[in-house]
Amino acid sequence: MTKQDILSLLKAKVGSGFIGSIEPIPDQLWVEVRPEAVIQAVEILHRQTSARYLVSVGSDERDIKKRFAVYHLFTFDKDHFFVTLDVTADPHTPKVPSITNVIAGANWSEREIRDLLGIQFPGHPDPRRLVLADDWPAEVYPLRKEFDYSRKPESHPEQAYQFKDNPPGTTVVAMGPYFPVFEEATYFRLYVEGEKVVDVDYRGFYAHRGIEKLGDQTLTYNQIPFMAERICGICGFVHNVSFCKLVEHAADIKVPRRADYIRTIMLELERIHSHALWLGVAGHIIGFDTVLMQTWRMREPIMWLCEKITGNRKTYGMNLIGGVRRDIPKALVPEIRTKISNMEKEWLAVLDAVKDDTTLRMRLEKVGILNKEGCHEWAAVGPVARAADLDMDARKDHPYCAYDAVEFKVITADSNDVWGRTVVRILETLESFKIVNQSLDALMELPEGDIITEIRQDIPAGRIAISAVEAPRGEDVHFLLTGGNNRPVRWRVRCPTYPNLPTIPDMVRGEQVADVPIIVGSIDPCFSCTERMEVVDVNSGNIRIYGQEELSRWTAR
Amino acid sequence: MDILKIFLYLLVYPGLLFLFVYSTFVEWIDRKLYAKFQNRMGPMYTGSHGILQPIADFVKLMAKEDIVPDKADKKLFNAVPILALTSVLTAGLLLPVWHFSDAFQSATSFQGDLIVIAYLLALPSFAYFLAGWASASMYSAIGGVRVLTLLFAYEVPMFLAILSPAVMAGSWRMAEIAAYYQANPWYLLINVFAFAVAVVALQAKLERVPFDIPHAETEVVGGAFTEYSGRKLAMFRLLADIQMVVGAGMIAALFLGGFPGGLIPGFIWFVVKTLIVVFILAAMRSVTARLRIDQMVSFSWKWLAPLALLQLVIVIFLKGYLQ
Repeated sequence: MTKQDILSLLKAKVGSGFIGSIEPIPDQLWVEVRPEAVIQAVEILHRQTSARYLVSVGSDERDIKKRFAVYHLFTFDKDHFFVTLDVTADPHTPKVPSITNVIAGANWSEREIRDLLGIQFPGHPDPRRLVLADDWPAEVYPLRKEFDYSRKPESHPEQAYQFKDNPPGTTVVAMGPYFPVFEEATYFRLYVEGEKVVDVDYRGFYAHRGIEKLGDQTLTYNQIPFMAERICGICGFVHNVSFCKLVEHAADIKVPRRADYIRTIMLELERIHSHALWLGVAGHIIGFDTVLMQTWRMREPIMWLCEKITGNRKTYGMNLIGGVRRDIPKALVPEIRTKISNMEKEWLAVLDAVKDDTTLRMRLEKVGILNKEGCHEWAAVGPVARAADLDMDARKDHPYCAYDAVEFKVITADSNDVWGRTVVRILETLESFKIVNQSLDALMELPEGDIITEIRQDIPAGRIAISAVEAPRGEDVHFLLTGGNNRPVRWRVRCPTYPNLPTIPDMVRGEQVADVPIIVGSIDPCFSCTERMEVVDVNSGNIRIYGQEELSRWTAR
Repeated sequence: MDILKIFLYLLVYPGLLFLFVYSTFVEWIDRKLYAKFQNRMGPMYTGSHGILQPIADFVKLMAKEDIVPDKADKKLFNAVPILALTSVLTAGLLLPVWHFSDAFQSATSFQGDLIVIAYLLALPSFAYFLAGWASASMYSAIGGVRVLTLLFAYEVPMFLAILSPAVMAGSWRMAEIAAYYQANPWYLLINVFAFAVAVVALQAKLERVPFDIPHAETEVVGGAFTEYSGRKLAMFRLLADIQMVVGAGMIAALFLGGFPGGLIPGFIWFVVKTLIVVFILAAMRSVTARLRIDQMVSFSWKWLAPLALLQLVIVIFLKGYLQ
């Protein structure tokens, strides 16, 4: 489908609800529709075209356009562009019809917009609180422009969160807010009958950090990449690249090719160590600690490699808008190749061992089923969707960095279960080794040093951009509306866990209690991305740095 | 002299002192092996190569605050660890480790001691169930129920498996069974299926991977032990170690020919043979994932029990043939 087809389809079906359309940058189509027509427009996109729902973004534009705006973002994966439905809400009593009854995946987005901006969504099936704390006062909306980012409203305990009622004959088993298997605070309230899970309720966002708020009130374009990197402790570089891409798109900045390749290498190294980490955690969840120990041992050289390239094991601080801060010198390339090929060999052995392991298959096969249709409804992404035979990968569908120049396969499986997700991740890692090697080849040919474009003009205001970057957990979407003062008006982060997490109730219903942890684990949840929060402990005073040899010697005394 | 022997038997070897020291050693061996299988080093700091680590852990736990939940059934909650520890310690006494002469029959070696030791080794499972029940916590309750479900899965194969060597030897006394196989070492090979079943069932009895379902930390936190802390938890942990020693000792007595040769050689045999069993148990837990409770039950009844029965049939026919 081309953008023209979609425009004419929408015009024909929505009629007077259609207001107008623009193409702000080549891969985007913006369609403005009237609030009354939004359900119909969404239904057409969701049911009659190949569109995939991404996220809805709310934005307070009362200062510039005298309105609140809600943007529903869609992607046409195989046609490589995004479509945004732009809906205006009244600045005084903002209200937009809910689309959750059409697309289940819009559930969280709408609740978040309601919580943070106060835009109401009549017709929403589950209008409970999502993001705000249990005791946050009613009618205080933190993402509105007049709300200062440092303000702390007083506690209103009467706003207590209401969980679902017990289905008859069930008891509650609490998994969370603190639970051995979840590294971060999250709460799955299981309603069980014996060992069987009848229903489940979710409460999360215990640690919302308000990073987006910082982005549009205090930080500047040059600072946000570093904040974005701190959204996640594992796939931070993804957020970092996502944001830089946004601004580069919006302001039409050309990145040097060498920087593209360096970004690609770092993204793939991140995928490699993230998937190794995941496999280990998955093993631990089902009591197979040998997998944990072995994969984490294999992962360690990659972490040291990252430190060698960037100066840090994680949270590399490599990206700036326009390029990267450090080059990968040609002299380092052979060492990277050796480490990669060592890991590749070990990874093939892992694949061999996992493939035929009876107990692993017993635990992973046919649990946590989510099929193609379910993925489409919930807008699931990443290995979860790929294990349901959906061929989608932002690296192929919306090529960024150097992914247009490297060869790799998108791995899919058709078993819809946890086993499928495991296989997809293991095989995907093998593709990552290939990508790194190809990128290294390219690095050898490009001149050293040309890694960043200097930006001489201000980033213009009023530009819009969407970027999709394939994180290890799935596609990471950032949305940007640029503003004055060298910062965005609205920066929205939709990390891959955000659409994947709401699928959990569907996956665990009817399964056994014992399967819940591995099912939750199978989406590779990263609650801190969902909540966009992280505590950074800054050491003041003397910091002594220990090197690899010293640390290894210490631990192996 | 005989009185002294009995006291030595009760308190030193194979009684309390020996069981305590040796079980911590076995735990250390198990941890080291598990670590080796995972390319780790295991405990390194306390004692040479961390050999004292299990004792350090025990002492640490003993010194920790001992919390009894308000809603718990306090009497039961307090009694259960002692009850369970007592039963495995008693079971330890039944191991035929000292070769008493025919003139002096040990009070703890008698016709039918095999049944008693199996029974005493089964008691801790009931204790775990009661512990889970008394704790008044959701995780403990699930853990407790899982303990019982697991018990029904492994206990029958276990009994069937230990029946085979007994039937072959024609005795219910472990010392006699061991003596029978010492006289005919080749007959040990007959019981190879039963040996496999018994080792797997022992792993389940000890609730170790892949059968650590009742206290799977990623599912039910600590299972029946969730609410236990301090001294009582230390007792539970100690009892698990002792249970491993006694279980391994029982299997060694029945399937590996016992511990012949008097005090010193017998002791060496005991260490070597129990460590063989422990090695198998450690290897098993490093190459498997935890099963689900339904998978465990069906595995048990589909494979373990029929295999043990088959072994019994083989033994009965062979016995008829050999006579």
